[in-house]
This record gives sequence, C-alpha cells and structure tokens, in this order.
Amino acid sequence: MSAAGTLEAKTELIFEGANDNAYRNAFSHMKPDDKRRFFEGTLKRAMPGARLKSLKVTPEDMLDVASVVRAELEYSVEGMTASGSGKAVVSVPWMGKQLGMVNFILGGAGLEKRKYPMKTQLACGMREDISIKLADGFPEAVSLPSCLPVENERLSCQQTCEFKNGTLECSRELKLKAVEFSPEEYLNLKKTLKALEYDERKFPVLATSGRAIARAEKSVDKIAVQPVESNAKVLESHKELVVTDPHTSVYKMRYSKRILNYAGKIREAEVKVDFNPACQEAKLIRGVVISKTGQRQEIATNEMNVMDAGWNASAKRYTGGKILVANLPGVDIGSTIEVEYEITTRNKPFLSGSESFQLTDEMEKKSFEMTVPLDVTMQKIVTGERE
Amino acid sequence: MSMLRAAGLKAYPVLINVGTKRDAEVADPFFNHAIVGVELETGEYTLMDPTDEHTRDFLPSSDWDQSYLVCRPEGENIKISHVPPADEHMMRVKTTGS
Repeated sequence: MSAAGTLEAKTELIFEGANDNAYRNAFSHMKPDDKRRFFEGTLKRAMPGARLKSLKVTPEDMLDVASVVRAELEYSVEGMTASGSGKAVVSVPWMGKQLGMVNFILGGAGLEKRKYPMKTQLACGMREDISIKLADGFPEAVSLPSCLPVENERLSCQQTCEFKNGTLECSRELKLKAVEFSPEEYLNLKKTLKALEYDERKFPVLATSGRAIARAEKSVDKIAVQPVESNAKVLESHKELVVTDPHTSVYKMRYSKRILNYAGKIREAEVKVDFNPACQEAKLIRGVVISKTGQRQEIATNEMNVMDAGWNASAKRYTGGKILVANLPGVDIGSTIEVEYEITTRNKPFLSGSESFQLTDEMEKKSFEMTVPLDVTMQKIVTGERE
Repeated sequence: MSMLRAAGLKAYPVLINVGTKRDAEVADPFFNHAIVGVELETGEYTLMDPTDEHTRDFLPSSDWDQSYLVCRPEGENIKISHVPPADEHMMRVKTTGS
C-alpha cells in the first residue's frame, strides 16, 4: 500500500463445505458477467471505490464437484488511509464480512430477544488472513486494534492485528458451532455480536512520513471495460417524467429491444409494470413484435391483465401493489420488441425516483427527460459519471 | 441405491423432512424429500443425497439437522441427521497486498 493510501491487492476466496454447496449452486446459474457483477458488488461493499482488475472463478463447470469453488480477485483501491499530523488511520481490506454462510446466518439475528429458539441448521465459519506490505512512508505503528477473543461452546471469534517488518498482518476467525440458540443463549449471542461489531470499527493507526506521502503515486491504471453478455440488446430506451405539480406526474416509458437468446425471450415476452393502485394508474400504450423476417404483430387487448403484486400476501399491513402484465405475441430469438407504457401518479406526498444507466444488457441508446414547472422545487443528483 | 447395493453396501431409501422436525414418538408418514442411507458396521447410517448436483459432500447442508426415517422392511425409528463441525464448513479469505 502506497503512502497515499492506494492499495493493490489480491484476494483468494475458498468456499468449503456448506459454503461450497451454496455458492456453487448460485454460480452455476450465473453468466460470467453476473459473476463479475456479484464480486464487483461484494468488493465495493467492503471497500467503496475499489476497482476489480481481474476475476477468476473455478471450476469453470460448477457441476464438476472434484474441486472446491475458489475465486481470485485482483483489484486496486484508493483512499485506504486518512492521514494527518504524522499519523494515518488505515482501513483494513476485510472482505469476509460480505460473504459466507456464517455471515448470512448471523445477519438473521435481528431481533433483540426471542420467544422461541433461533435455529441456524448449519455449523460453519469464516477465516480471513490479510497481509499488506506497506510503503516506506509508514515507519511504525502508533496503535493497533486489540480485540477480546470469544470462546464458548456455541460461538468462537478472534481477531488479531500486527505490524511487523513493514507489513500489516491481520486475521479474523469466526465459528458458529451450534445449530440452535435458546432465547437465553440468543441474548448472549446478541451481546457477542455487539462486541464483534464494536471490534470491527477499530482501525490500525500508523506513523507516517510527510515526504513519502507527497512522493506517492496519485494515479491508478484505468481498468478496461469488460464486454457485456446480454440476453436482449436495448436498441433504444427513452423515459420521460412530466411533473404537473409536487404531487402529480406522468412517467412515460418507450423502449425497443432485440432478443438475443432464450433467457431474453422468456424475460421480455412478458411486460410487467408494477404500480401502487392507491395513487397510480398504469396503461400499456403500444406493444409490437417484429419478427426476424420483418412481420409485425401488435398486442391484443385480451393479452393485458392487472394482477396482485407477488409480495402482497407477505406484507398485509401495506396497501397491496398491482402489476400490469402484458404478453407480447410471437416473441422469439432474433425478433425486436417495441413497448410503450405510462404510469400516472396522483396525490403523492412528494415525487421521487432514480434512473440507472448501467443495465445488465448491452445498450445502444438511452435517454431520460424530465419536465418540471418552474414553481416546483426540484433536487437532482447525478452519480457515476465517467471522468 | 441399486449401484450401492451392487457394490455390496447395505443401502436403503431414506425419507427426510426438510423443515419442521417430526416427533420421533409418533407414527408419521409425512416427509418431503427422499435420499439414500448406507448402514455401517456400527449400525449407524451414512446419509447421501444423490439429487443435489451442487454438493461435494454426501449430504448437502439443506439436509442437516432434519428428521429422517430409514425405510427398512422391519421398520426403523425416526432419527435426526448429523451436523458436521464448523471446521469442515469454513469460508477462507486470504488477501495479500502491496
């Protein structure tokens, strides 16, 4: 890690036992792009701003169970230190908190107390070792986190951090050893998790040399953009939000896509528009399918249905959502679909929304337009613009 | 199961209930999954789930700590499937940086 806080690192993830089982299943259903997005997201949650330079997930065929699932990530990340007054607080690149069955299970311990036992079904754990070679700008440690180990018959956890010969060595091990926690044991578990969370917020503080920081490189190699493996290519997407007053708007959507494979055919043959019937109305204006040979077919009115949203039964306290489902005729690989719909919103306390220009499919053209009266106050944030 | 038997092992079909545990004292035919059990010389069973294509273990984690019944002609008691120790189910993360 440079004195300016730029880290070039490589992380190897080994999924053993139940972790292998769960992640192998998930990866077997993912395309290479999906895997990259998954690990990119994991990396960025652990280290905001990190750039994934390379990724290798093995075995290539997830049905080959002869070897364990492994992933190797190479990445760079800037801003891993906060320096001042001759010291630097160093962010340790812990990745383990974002992955693994043990974190998934402990993430479910949300209740403050329980009336009935918590059953985890799995005994599993996480071991993380980090070794970071530091540049000359860090002559010594000022303070290193100290964490009390936890060891009982249901859970064990220990975390260490050392600074030796210019290298920061950190390790963390967490084991969930039991599959059931009684309400009393659950209270102890919560106390332990609280202590762990507190320990996670401890950072090493190292002495710094000002000259070394000034010399440190400030640029990181730009990462080549990876090609996207698409199910349907977005030929054009245009969205328009027409605001009438602070509580009323019409959202108009128009897109055309070319179907590239079977997954795209399944996904795009049904147009699904979610809306809240308490304050919204959805209307399909146009649905056209143009076959490979140029034959046009328009959607029939009896192919449009309004149904209850899938989540209604599990969240009865909320107003049930609705979904407009339109079945496009004759969608096949190679055909082009053209869809246009609008959602009218009335009596909303305020209007808000977001629009993403990074999609899971290749896109040729996308535009978003917003019309707002002058007397309506508007705030907007644009993020992720390329430099 | 036929292959295991052909190899000379004592293999039996096993009914397992993935979810709520069954009461071992009550005669109960309600299970939701079928796997295979091989009887060892000690009288214990090694369970294996040949329906799971994504596991390296004989028994995937979804079948752990569940009620099961080995279908022997003479009958058997309802048992609870084994939970392996955490050490065998670790997620290992190793980071080196410069």
